[in-house]
Amino acid sequence: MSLHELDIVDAARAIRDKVVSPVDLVDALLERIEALDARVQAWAYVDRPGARAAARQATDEAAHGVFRGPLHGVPFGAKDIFYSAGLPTEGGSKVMAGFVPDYDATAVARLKAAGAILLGKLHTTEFATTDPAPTRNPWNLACTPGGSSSGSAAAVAARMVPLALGSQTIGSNVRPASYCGLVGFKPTFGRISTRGVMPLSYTQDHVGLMARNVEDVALALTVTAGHDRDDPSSSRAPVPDYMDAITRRRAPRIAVLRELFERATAEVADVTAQAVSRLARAGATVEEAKLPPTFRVVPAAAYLITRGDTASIHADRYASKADLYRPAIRSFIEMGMLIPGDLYVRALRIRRQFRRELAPLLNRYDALLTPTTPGPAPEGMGTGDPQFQTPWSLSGLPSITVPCGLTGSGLPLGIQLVSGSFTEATLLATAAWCEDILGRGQPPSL
Amino acid sequence: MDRDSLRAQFVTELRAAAERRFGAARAALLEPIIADAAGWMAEVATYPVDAEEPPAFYAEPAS
Repeated sequence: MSLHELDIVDAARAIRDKVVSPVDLVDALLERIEALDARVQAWAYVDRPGARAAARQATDEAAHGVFRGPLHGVPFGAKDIFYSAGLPTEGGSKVMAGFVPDYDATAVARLKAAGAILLGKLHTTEFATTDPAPTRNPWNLACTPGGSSSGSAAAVAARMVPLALGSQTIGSNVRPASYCGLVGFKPTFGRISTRGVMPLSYTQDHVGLMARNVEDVALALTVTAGHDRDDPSSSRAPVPDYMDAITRRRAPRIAVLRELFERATAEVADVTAQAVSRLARAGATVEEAKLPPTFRVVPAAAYLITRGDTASIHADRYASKADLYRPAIRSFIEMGMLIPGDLYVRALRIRRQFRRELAPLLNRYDALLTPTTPGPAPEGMGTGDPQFQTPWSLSGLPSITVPCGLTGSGLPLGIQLVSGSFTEATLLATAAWCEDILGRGQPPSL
Repeated sequence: MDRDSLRAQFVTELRAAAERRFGAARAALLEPIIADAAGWMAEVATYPVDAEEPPAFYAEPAS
């Protein structure tokens, strides 16, 4: 196996066993980026000197038996809305051209504290909305990798890095992960600190994780989850050992949300239904369930909340730099400025009602199951349809995509699993069980 | 007021507000999304929210 193919857990183990050095691993990934990124365009900035210096230090420490944490020497990338001390962080926008933060986002800092090495910054749509990044899908360069975490998904899929930080306000982490054949995870709102992440919505922003298997996500979550006193939306809920949780996997109780199958293409519905049949044959308890009535108005509530929040977040920059914004984000902000306050608050009430109405359903099952996306990655620059992620971003519930097959044209598809607030341990164990049955995602042939 | 009537009213109000706030040229560029926005606003305005349901400013993470 080539070094660039090592997943997180395997790389960490190989470094700890002194089979692989962080220097060799970082060099292999930098070579991979050099070879492929002109075509994939995943990286906004590659920090070659910084990554090599960190790798030399990690190698030296390992030689002396010093390991900073469970990710010692393992490289990662961060979407270019995550602050990274001393590195350009431009959020895919001319508005932020030349911005270099002087501190790391909490998620970046926690990964570094666990020994991980930041390789660089990954392309995003402008401010994580819809004006596209230049990134292409490694499975088919004519297709989008999805967005807004475009570079994160493409880089992990192209084996340029085993772990990437993304984010999700509507559908920006789980959807691109699925389009690129990855495991993509969005935790409960407040589970991972969003401090130092350029905000889009105060009430819907989530840090996301992308990797190539569920075990890797569990390890990355164990390292990044937990309260942050500098983030007022950060939860104080205890953080379980997610690596331990996935060792207790068992045949789960799954609720299939048929309404979303009916909104998918026939091919997606068929591939997903075949995956569900395999899970049932392997012992999962599979039942059909209906979403509560409030589901109908979820897209409308999300529309008003995200635009209202974004207008508030960008008000000062917009006042002085409106012409530097690209068309979609500019319109997004302007519409937010026009939404009446009473409707914004009503949307927040709808969100709470949706969460309340969902609770009985979530309590009956280990996870709800949907196709991750209505279709495979579309051709062109548009970042795809986020409608299957919107309910879980709005409600702040944890969700994960696991690869479940390919379309006839060779594009990856996934199943999306959703569970109750702060039940990530159950969700990851369920996802790991499903992955055992369905098999891990395969690499694209680049 | 029913949803369609409310949507039409929101379209009128958004057009006027966009012109007032951003000028006629910019408001014209927003025109294609004003109908969508008005539709979402009408959905939210007419959906029966429980009278005792408070807003969730955050997804209530802190405990």
